[in-house]
Amino acid sequence: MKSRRAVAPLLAATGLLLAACGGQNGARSDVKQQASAPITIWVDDTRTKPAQEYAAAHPELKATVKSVDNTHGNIPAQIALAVKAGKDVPDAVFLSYPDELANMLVNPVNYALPLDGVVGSDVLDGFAKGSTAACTFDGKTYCLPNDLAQTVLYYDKPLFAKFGYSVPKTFDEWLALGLRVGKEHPGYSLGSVNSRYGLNGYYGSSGCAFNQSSSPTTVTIDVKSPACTRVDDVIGPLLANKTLSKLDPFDAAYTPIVKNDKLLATISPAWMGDYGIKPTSPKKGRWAVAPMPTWKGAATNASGTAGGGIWVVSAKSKNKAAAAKFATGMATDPKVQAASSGYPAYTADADIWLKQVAKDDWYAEDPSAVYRDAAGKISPTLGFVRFQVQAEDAFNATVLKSGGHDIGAALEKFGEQLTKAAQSASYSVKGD
Amino acid sequence: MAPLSSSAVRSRSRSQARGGTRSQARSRFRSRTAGVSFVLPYLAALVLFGLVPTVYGIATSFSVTPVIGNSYTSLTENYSAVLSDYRTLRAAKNVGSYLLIWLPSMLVIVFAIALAMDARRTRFAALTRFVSYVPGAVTGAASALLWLFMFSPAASPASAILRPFAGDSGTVISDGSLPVILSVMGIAAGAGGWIVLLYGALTDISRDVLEAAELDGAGAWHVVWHIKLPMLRSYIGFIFIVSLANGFQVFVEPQVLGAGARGQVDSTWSLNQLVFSYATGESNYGRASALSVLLLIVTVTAAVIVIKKTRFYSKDAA
Repeated sequence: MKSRRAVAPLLAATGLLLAACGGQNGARSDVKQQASAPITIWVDDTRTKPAQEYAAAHPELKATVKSVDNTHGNIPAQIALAVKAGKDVPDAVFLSYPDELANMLVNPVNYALPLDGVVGSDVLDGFAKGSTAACTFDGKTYCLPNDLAQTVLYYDKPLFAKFGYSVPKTFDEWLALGLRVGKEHPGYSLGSVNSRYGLNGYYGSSGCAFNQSSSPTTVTIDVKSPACTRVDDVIGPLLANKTLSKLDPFDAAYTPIVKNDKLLATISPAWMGDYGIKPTSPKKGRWAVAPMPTWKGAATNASGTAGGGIWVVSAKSKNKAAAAKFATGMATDPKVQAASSGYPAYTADADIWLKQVAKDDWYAEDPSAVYRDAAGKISPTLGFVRFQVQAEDAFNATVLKSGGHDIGAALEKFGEQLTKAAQSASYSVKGD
Repeated sequence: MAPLSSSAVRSRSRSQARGGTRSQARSRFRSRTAGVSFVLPYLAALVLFGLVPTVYGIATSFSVTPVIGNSYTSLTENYSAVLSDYRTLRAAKNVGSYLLIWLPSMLVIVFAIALAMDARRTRFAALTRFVSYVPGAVTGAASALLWLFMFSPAASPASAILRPFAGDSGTVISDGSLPVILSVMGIAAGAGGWIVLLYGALTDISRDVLEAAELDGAGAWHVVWHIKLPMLRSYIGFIFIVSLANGFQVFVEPQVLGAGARGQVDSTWSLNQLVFSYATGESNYGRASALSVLLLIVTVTAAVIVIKKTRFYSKDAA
């Protein structure tokens, strides 16, 4: 009984003890490069097999692939401890929570290598438009996007036909649809707005600045802007009439909605079809994908994002060239990316990937064009910050908890907590 | 049993004080080395895993690492950052309301069941003792996982009971309901052991005392209130200290419940989760240490107060 509650302090204590053995963290020193030095790559479970195959196909890189626990925050923490203990750190890592990059740029991790000079602009330009923007801090690119999580509108095509609904093109139409569903078919859902699905998917796609950051020390937070408040006007009433769910899409209480064909439509990242809907609703020919609706007053539609992996190369590597080559290869190699679990960020590979998706008869119609269009429209206001977890916590505790009642006040409260979280993480906050 | 052993110790020390023969000196030496060798492994573990990390933690709590630039030493900066963090007060309130519900209800339940078992020492009492002890076998993360299902109206065998408590989205687990949920879990997992302990202590109360009370005309309630409860004071104090220290550091349960009921529980619901967030999510060892040191101060202070109030060590002095 005693021991289980002592887990956290023990973990912290052992970490600190380990750290005690090592030197001080501090300024980045230039590591002497050795052209033939072997490299170590850290990846998550999903990426382990492709990375091992890539390493075997490229023996000249002398890469060892290690599968690591990718719980949010774990990889930066592991590297920070290794740095403090003076031990070797991986030469490149795959991050399945891309916001962790924000931690990798600063003390005590100090890990990420600027890739502009190492990778070459021809490669960087090959990624979907704007997809490297979030990797860019103070004008330097610190990561390569692996797969994108651009949001789209999933909808149940036969159900729409049965109810006589048309697919919304604007968020005003989405609101009107939700109000109709609430009246005509209560119990049917328009998806989840829990955590990042609501925050990054809805507010993010609207261009609401809550984690906009292009420097490790500054962030723009402006929840009083119209880009944020216009989202309130849509999700407030739909939370109140329960067509939008407060549950996480993977919550045991949410799954029955999908299973019993009560999910009418959802605004979700591009992996949600394969990983969220298909396993629970495998019937063929039901699900179709439509472009993101356009926000009121916006010239064009835009996407939010929830997920998407990135590659980061170590500034402490003894063989930066090989490490960068491996990361670039994994992010751009057509063979690797054709089998990607998510939408490939590299445009040429995405086309190959989409050819397979087009053949998937789970979809009611070919989703390729919608996915491709959305990939280049991820809102530039979405950034990687050190307080993403706190932002999602605060969002759930304010906007979501309000249940749509006085959502405006809830959003302001969210903004206050967000600012505190950002300041606590040593950001100077602009806007607001 | 305790008075017997202490009198034995006393008589031996008397004989040692009197005697000065060689065999006595040898036996004294032997008993001393035996004592030391018994304590040594614990001492080594205490130093390695208790004192050294504590001292290192205190030292780290004065080291500030800015996001950019070199580390420096400050006596107050980490502490003021931790105390002014908007999450600290919230987590303290969460843990406080959990302790307020859990500790009194567990002490009452444990004492009541132990008394009932003591009053009727039948086979049924033995069964009660066993049944109440069994849930304690499932602890930690496994217990949290088990309760995660128990508290999911969609999956729980007790879903009919849970339904009225479910929020509008159909979940029971939330920031607000967690103190009650953790209390139920804590009592289920922890009460059995304490019941066995208190029952043992109750059977240890001398028959003479109870018979004397009966002759003086004390009713059952008087016996409980004026004899059994005072005689168990140090045991209850012990249960209180251990439970307070454990409850104050609650971590695994909200962590696992929060991971299961995604987006329903604050990731820094308890103070120890906030320490964990500082140490792993935010890589800020200075603040993690500062908050840990503050937690240590609070639990040690509480322990000292309870020890003084219950005259915890008074039995040895008597």
